[in-house]
Amino acid sequence: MQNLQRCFGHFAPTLEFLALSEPKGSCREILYLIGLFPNLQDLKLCYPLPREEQEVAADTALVPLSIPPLRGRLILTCFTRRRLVEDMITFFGGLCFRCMDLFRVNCVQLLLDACVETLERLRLYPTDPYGEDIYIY
Amino acid sequence: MRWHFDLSRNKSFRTLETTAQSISAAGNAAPGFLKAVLSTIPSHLPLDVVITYQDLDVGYFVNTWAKFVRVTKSPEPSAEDARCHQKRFRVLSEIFRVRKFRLVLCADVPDCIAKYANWVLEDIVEAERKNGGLGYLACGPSIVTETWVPRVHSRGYRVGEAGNRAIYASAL
Repeated sequence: MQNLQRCFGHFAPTLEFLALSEPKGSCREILYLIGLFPNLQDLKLCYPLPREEQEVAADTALVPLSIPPLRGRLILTCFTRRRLVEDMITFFGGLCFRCMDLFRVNCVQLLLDACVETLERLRLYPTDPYGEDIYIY
Repeated sequence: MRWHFDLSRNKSFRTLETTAQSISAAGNAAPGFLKAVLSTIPSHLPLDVVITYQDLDVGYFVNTWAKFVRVTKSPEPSAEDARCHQKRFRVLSEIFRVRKFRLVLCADVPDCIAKYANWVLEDIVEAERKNGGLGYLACGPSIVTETWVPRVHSRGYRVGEAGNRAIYASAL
Protein backbone atom coordinates (compact mmCIF):
# COMPACT_ATOMS: atom_id res chain seq x y z
CA MET A 1 0.00 0.00 0.00
CA GLN A 2 2.93 2.28 0.64
CA ASN A 3 3.98 1.59 -2.95
CA LEU A 4 0.63 2.73 -4.29
CA GLN A 5 0.91 5.96 -2.35
CA ARG A 6 4.47 6.51 -3.55
CA CYS A 7 3.62 5.74 -7.19
CA PHE A 8 0.34 7.57 -7.53
CA GLY A 9 0.13 9.91 -4.53
CA HIS A 10 1.34 12.89 -6.53
CA PHE A 11 -1.76 12.64 -8.76
CA ALA A 12 -4.02 12.98 -5.74
CA PRO A 13 -4.77 16.71 -6.14
CA THR A 14 -5.78 16.48 -9.81
CA LEU A 15 -6.92 12.99 -10.77
CA GLU A 16 -10.61 12.88 -11.66
CA PHE A 17 -10.88 9.67 -13.69
CA LEU A 18 -9.50 6.32 -12.61
CA ALA A 19 -9.71 3.29 -14.91
CA LEU A 20 -8.51 -0.08 -13.66
CA SER A 21 -8.20 -3.04 -15.98
CA GLU A 22 -8.64 -6.36 -14.19
CA PRO A 23 -7.59 -5.03 -10.78
CA LYS A 24 -6.39 -7.72 -8.40
CA GLY A 25 -6.23 -7.58 -4.64
CA SER A 26 -8.87 -7.42 -1.97
CA CYS A 27 -11.83 -5.08 -2.01
CA ARG A 28 -10.19 -3.06 0.75
CA GLU A 29 -7.02 -2.67 -1.30
CA ILE A 30 -8.95 -1.42 -4.33
CA LEU A 31 -10.98 0.84 -2.09
CA TYR A 32 -7.75 2.19 -0.62
CA LEU A 33 -6.47 2.98 -4.11
CA ILE A 34 -9.71 4.79 -4.99
CA GLY A 35 -9.48 6.72 -1.73
CA LEU A 36 -6.01 7.98 -2.66
CA PHE A 37 -7.66 10.47 -5.01
CA PRO A 38 -9.89 12.91 -3.13
CA ASN A 39 -11.13 14.61 -6.33
CA LEU A 40 -12.11 11.46 -8.20
CA GLN A 41 -15.35 11.82 -10.18
CA ASP A 42 -15.33 8.95 -12.69
CA LEU A 43 -14.45 5.32 -12.11
CA LYS A 44 -14.00 2.43 -14.54
CA LEU A 45 -13.39 -1.17 -13.50
CA CYS A 46 -13.12 -3.74 -16.26
CA TYR A 47 -12.58 -7.47 -16.24
CA PRO A 48 -12.23 -9.54 -19.41
CA LEU A 49 -14.63 -12.26 -18.21
CA PRO A 50 -17.13 -12.51 -15.37
CA ARG A 51 -15.97 -14.87 -12.65
CA GLU A 52 -16.69 -15.43 -9.03
CA GLU A 53 -13.94 -13.78 -7.07
CA GLN A 54 -12.33 -15.62 -4.21
CA GLU A 55 -12.17 -12.70 -1.82
CA VAL A 56 -8.93 -12.65 0.09
CA ALA A 57 -9.17 -11.99 3.81
CA ALA A 58 -10.06 -8.37 4.34
CA ASP A 59 -7.42 -6.21 5.96
CA THR A 60 -9.70 -4.44 8.39
CA ALA A 61 -7.02 -1.92 9.25
CA LEU A 62 -6.99 -0.70 5.66
CA VAL A 63 -9.37 2.23 5.29
CA PRO A 64 -9.51 4.74 2.42
CA LEU A 65 -7.58 7.94 3.06
CA SER A 66 -10.33 10.15 1.62
CA ILE A 67 -13.92 10.08 0.45
CA PRO A 68 -13.85 11.02 -3.23
CA PRO A 69 -16.97 12.74 -4.60
CA LEU A 70 -17.59 10.14 -7.39
CA ARG A 71 -20.41 12.17 -8.92
CA GLY A 72 -19.58 11.43 -12.54
CA ARG A 73 -19.61 8.21 -14.53
CA LEU A 74 -19.25 4.63 -13.35
CA ILE A 75 -18.26 2.06 -15.96
CA LEU A 76 -18.25 -1.61 -14.96
CA THR A 77 -17.61 -4.52 -17.31
CA CYS A 78 -17.80 -8.21 -16.35
CA PHE A 79 -17.86 -7.09 -12.75
CA THR A 80 -18.81 -9.63 -10.09
CA ARG A 81 -17.31 -8.02 -6.99
CA ARG A 82 -20.49 -7.08 -5.20
CA ARG A 83 -18.53 -6.84 -1.96
CA LEU A 84 -16.52 -3.93 -3.35
CA VAL A 85 -19.69 -2.00 -4.15
CA GLU A 86 -21.03 -2.71 -0.68
CA ASP A 87 -17.76 -1.47 0.85
CA MET A 88 -17.86 1.68 -1.28
CA ILE A 89 -21.38 2.39 -0.06
CA THR A 90 -20.29 1.82 3.54
CA PHE A 91 -17.02 3.76 3.51
CA PHE A 92 -18.06 6.58 1.18
CA GLY A 93 -21.44 7.04 2.85
CA GLY A 94 -23.39 5.98 -0.24
CA LEU A 95 -22.88 6.51 -3.95
CA CYS A 96 -23.97 9.42 -6.10
CA PHE A 97 -22.95 8.65 -9.68
CA ARG A 98 -24.91 10.52 -12.34
CA CYS A 99 -24.07 8.17 -15.22
CA MET A 100 -23.53 4.44 -15.31
CA ASP A 101 -22.43 2.06 -18.04
CA LEU A 102 -22.96 -1.52 -16.89
CA PHE A 103 -22.34 -4.77 -18.71
CA ARG A 104 -22.32 -8.19 -17.08
CA VAL A 105 -22.53 -6.72 -13.59
CA ASN A 106 -24.03 -8.94 -10.91
CA CYS A 107 -25.11 -6.10 -8.61
CA VAL A 108 -26.97 -3.77 -10.99
CA GLN A 109 -29.96 -3.32 -8.74
CA LEU A 110 -27.74 -2.53 -5.75
CA LEU A 111 -26.09 0.23 -7.80
CA LEU A 112 -29.41 1.58 -9.10
CA ASP A 113 -30.76 1.73 -5.57
CA ALA A 114 -27.57 3.30 -4.18
CA CYS A 115 -27.81 6.12 -6.75
CA VAL A 116 -31.56 6.54 -6.48
CA GLU A 117 -31.34 10.33 -6.01
CA THR A 118 -28.63 11.10 -8.55
CA LEU A 119 -28.70 8.70 -11.48
CA GLU A 120 -29.61 10.54 -14.68
CA ARG A 121 -28.17 8.38 -17.42
CA LEU A 122 -27.76 4.64 -17.72
CA ARG A 123 -26.26 2.53 -20.45
CA LEU A 124 -27.42 -1.08 -20.55
CA TYR A 125 -26.97 -3.77 -23.15
CA PRO A 126 -29.73 -6.13 -24.32
CA THR A 127 -27.04 -8.81 -24.61
CA ASP A 128 -26.36 -8.61 -20.87
CA PRO A 129 -27.11 -12.02 -19.34
CA TYR A 130 -27.42 -10.44 -15.89
CA GLY A 131 -30.65 -8.86 -17.06
CA GLU A 132 -32.32 -12.18 -16.38
CA ASP A 133 -33.83 -12.31 -12.95
CA ILE A 134 -32.15 -15.55 -12.01
CA TYR A 135 -28.81 -13.75 -11.81
CA ILE A 136 -29.93 -10.84 -9.65
CA TYR A 137 -29.36 -11.39 -5.98
CA MET B 1 -37.79 -14.86 -19.96
CA ARG B 2 -38.04 -12.04 -17.42
CA TRP B 3 -35.76 -9.06 -17.06
CA HIS B 4 -35.20 -7.20 -13.85
CA PHE B 5 -33.52 -3.84 -13.91
CA ASP B 6 -35.89 -1.68 -11.93
CA LEU B 7 -35.59 2.11 -12.31
CA SER B 8 -38.90 2.98 -10.69
CA ARG B 9 -37.25 4.64 -7.66
CA ASN B 10 -34.63 6.66 -9.57
CA LYS B 11 -36.09 10.14 -9.38
CA SER B 12 -33.59 11.99 -11.56
CA PHE B 13 -33.48 9.47 -14.36
CA ARG B 14 -33.60 11.06 -17.83
CA THR B 15 -31.65 8.98 -20.32
CA LEU B 16 -31.51 5.30 -21.19
CA GLU B 17 -28.67 4.46 -23.47
CA THR B 18 -27.74 1.35 -25.40
CA THR B 19 -25.67 0.47 -28.41
CA ALA B 20 -26.70 -0.32 -31.96
CA GLN B 21 -24.44 -3.37 -31.87
CA SER B 22 -26.05 -4.85 -28.76
CA ILE B 23 -29.56 -4.41 -30.16
CA SER B 24 -28.52 -6.34 -33.25
CA ALA B 25 -26.57 -8.96 -31.31
CA ALA B 26 -29.43 -9.63 -28.89
CA GLY B 27 -31.75 -10.38 -31.80
CA ASN B 28 -35.24 -11.33 -30.66
CA ALA B 29 -34.35 -10.76 -27.01
CA ALA B 30 -33.69 -7.02 -27.51
CA PRO B 31 -37.31 -5.77 -27.49
CA GLY B 32 -38.14 -7.80 -24.37
CA PHE B 33 -35.12 -6.51 -22.50
CA LEU B 34 -35.68 -2.87 -23.42
CA LYS B 35 -39.43 -3.04 -22.82
CA ALA B 36 -38.87 -4.46 -19.35
CA VAL B 37 -36.43 -1.69 -18.44
CA LEU B 38 -38.58 1.07 -19.95
CA SER B 39 -41.70 -0.15 -18.20
CA THR B 40 -40.07 0.53 -14.83
CA ILE B 41 -39.32 4.21 -15.58
CA PRO B 42 -42.05 6.47 -14.20
CA SER B 43 -44.15 7.73 -17.09
CA HIS B 44 -44.33 11.37 -15.95
CA LEU B 45 -40.60 11.87 -16.49
CA PRO B 46 -39.31 13.01 -19.88
CA LEU B 47 -37.04 10.38 -21.31
CA ASP B 48 -34.38 10.23 -23.98
CA VAL B 49 -33.42 6.88 -25.47
CA VAL B 50 -29.94 7.14 -26.94
CA ILE B 51 -28.69 4.58 -29.44
CA THR B 52 -24.94 4.72 -29.75
CA TYR B 53 -23.27 3.94 -33.06
CA GLN B 54 -19.57 3.15 -33.17
CA ASP B 55 -17.21 3.30 -36.11
CA LEU B 56 -18.13 -0.12 -37.51
CA ASP B 57 -21.83 0.70 -37.32
CA VAL B 58 -21.34 3.63 -39.66
CA GLY B 59 -19.08 1.85 -42.14
CA TYR B 60 -15.65 2.76 -40.82
CA PHE B 61 -12.96 0.88 -38.94
CA VAL B 62 -10.56 2.85 -36.80
CA ASN B 63 -7.65 0.62 -35.82
CA THR B 64 -5.85 1.83 -32.70
CA TRP B 65 -3.92 -1.39 -32.13
CA ALA B 66 -1.46 -0.69 -34.90
CA LYS B 67 1.51 1.58 -34.40
CA PHE B 68 -0.48 4.42 -35.96
CA VAL B 69 -4.20 5.11 -36.00
CA ARG B 70 -5.55 3.71 -39.26
CA VAL B 71 -8.95 4.47 -40.71
CA THR B 72 -10.54 2.10 -43.18
CA LYS B 73 -13.79 2.87 -44.93
CA SER B 74 -16.01 0.02 -45.94
CA PRO B 75 -17.49 -0.02 -49.45
CA GLU B 76 -20.90 1.48 -50.05
CA PRO B 77 -23.58 0.35 -47.54
CA SER B 78 -24.88 -3.09 -48.45
CA ALA B 79 -28.45 -4.34 -48.49
CA GLU B 80 -27.56 -6.27 -45.34
CA ASP B 81 -26.56 -3.01 -43.58
CA ALA B 82 -29.86 -1.45 -44.58
CA ARG B 83 -31.78 -4.46 -43.23
CA CYS B 84 -29.85 -4.23 -39.99
CA HIS B 85 -30.78 -0.56 -39.55
CA GLN B 86 -34.42 -1.33 -40.37
CA LYS B 87 -34.51 -4.12 -37.79
CA ARG B 88 -33.21 -1.74 -35.11
CA PHE B 89 -35.84 0.84 -35.98
CA ARG B 90 -38.49 -1.89 -35.73
CA VAL B 91 -37.26 -2.67 -32.20
CA LEU B 92 -37.50 1.02 -31.33
CA SER B 93 -41.05 1.34 -32.64
CA GLU B 94 -42.00 -1.75 -30.66
CA ILE B 95 -40.60 -0.46 -27.36
CA PHE B 96 -42.16 2.97 -27.96
CA ARG B 97 -45.55 1.35 -27.33
CA VAL B 98 -44.49 0.62 -23.76
CA ARG B 99 -43.02 4.02 -22.93
CA LYS B 100 -42.87 7.23 -24.96
CA PHE B 101 -39.45 8.75 -25.41
CA ARG B 102 -37.39 11.09 -27.53
CA LEU B 103 -35.04 9.21 -29.81
CA VAL B 104 -31.41 10.27 -30.03
CA LEU B 105 -28.89 8.65 -32.36
CA CYS B 106 -25.37 9.22 -31.14
CA ALA B 107 -22.20 8.66 -33.14
CA ASP B 108 -19.58 7.73 -30.57
CA VAL B 109 -16.56 7.79 -32.83
CA PRO B 110 -13.00 9.09 -33.11
CA ASP B 111 -12.89 12.75 -34.04
CA CYS B 112 -11.29 11.97 -37.41
CA ILE B 113 -14.51 10.38 -38.73
CA ALA B 114 -17.07 12.43 -36.77
CA LYS B 115 -18.30 14.39 -39.77
CA TYR B 116 -18.75 11.27 -41.88
CA ALA B 117 -20.48 9.38 -39.08
CA ASN B 118 -22.94 12.24 -38.74
CA TRP B 119 -23.73 12.07 -42.47
CA VAL B 120 -24.24 8.31 -42.29
CA LEU B 121 -26.68 8.68 -39.39
CA GLU B 122 -28.57 11.38 -41.31
CA ASP B 123 -28.82 8.98 -44.27
CA ILE B 124 -30.03 6.16 -42.03
CA VAL B 125 -32.77 8.38 -40.58
CA GLU B 126 -33.76 9.67 -44.01
CA ALA B 127 -34.01 6.12 -45.38
CA GLU B 128 -36.20 5.07 -42.47
CA ARG B 129 -38.37 8.16 -42.87
CA LYS B 130 -38.90 7.31 -46.55
CA ASN B 131 -40.00 3.85 -45.45
CA GLY B 132 -42.56 5.51 -43.21
CA GLY B 133 -40.97 4.02 -40.12
CA LEU B 134 -40.65 7.05 -37.84
CA GLY B 135 -44.25 8.22 -37.79
CA TYR B 136 -44.75 7.21 -34.17
CA LEU B 137 -42.26 9.77 -32.86
CA ALA B 138 -43.61 13.16 -31.80
CA CYS B 139 -40.49 14.76 -33.24
CA GLY B 140 -37.76 13.35 -35.45
CA PRO B 141 -34.71 11.70 -33.96
CA SER B 142 -31.89 13.95 -32.85
CA ILE B 143 -28.44 13.17 -34.14
CA VAL B 144 -25.51 13.96 -31.89
CA THR B 145 -21.83 13.16 -32.00
CA GLU B 146 -19.55 12.32 -29.12
CA THR B 147 -15.98 12.26 -30.26
CA TRP B 148 -12.76 11.09 -28.73
CA VAL B 149 -9.16 11.29 -29.75
CA PRO B 150 -7.84 7.84 -30.69
CA ARG B 151 -4.63 6.89 -28.98
CA VAL B 152 -2.50 3.98 -30.03
CA HIS B 153 -2.24 1.41 -27.25
CA SER B 154 0.99 1.38 -25.35
CA ARG B 155 2.17 -1.29 -22.99
CA GLY B 156 0.60 -1.39 -19.57
CA TYR B 157 -2.81 -0.40 -18.29
CA ARG B 158 -4.20 3.05 -18.65
CA VAL B 159 -5.26 3.85 -15.10
CA GLY B 160 -6.49 7.38 -15.41
CA GLU B 161 -6.15 10.94 -16.55
CA ALA B 162 -4.88 14.08 -14.93
CA GLY B 163 -5.33 17.18 -17.02
CA ASN B 164 -4.45 16.08 -20.51
CA ARG B 165 -2.09 13.33 -19.41
CA ALA B 166 -2.95 9.67 -19.47
CA ILE B 167 -1.43 7.59 -16.71
CA TYR B 168 -0.26 4.07 -17.37
CA ALA B 169 0.73 1.37 -14.90
CA SER B 170 1.98 -2.03 -15.90
CA ALA B 171 1.70 -3.70 -12.49
CA LEU B 172 -1.24 -2.82 -10.33
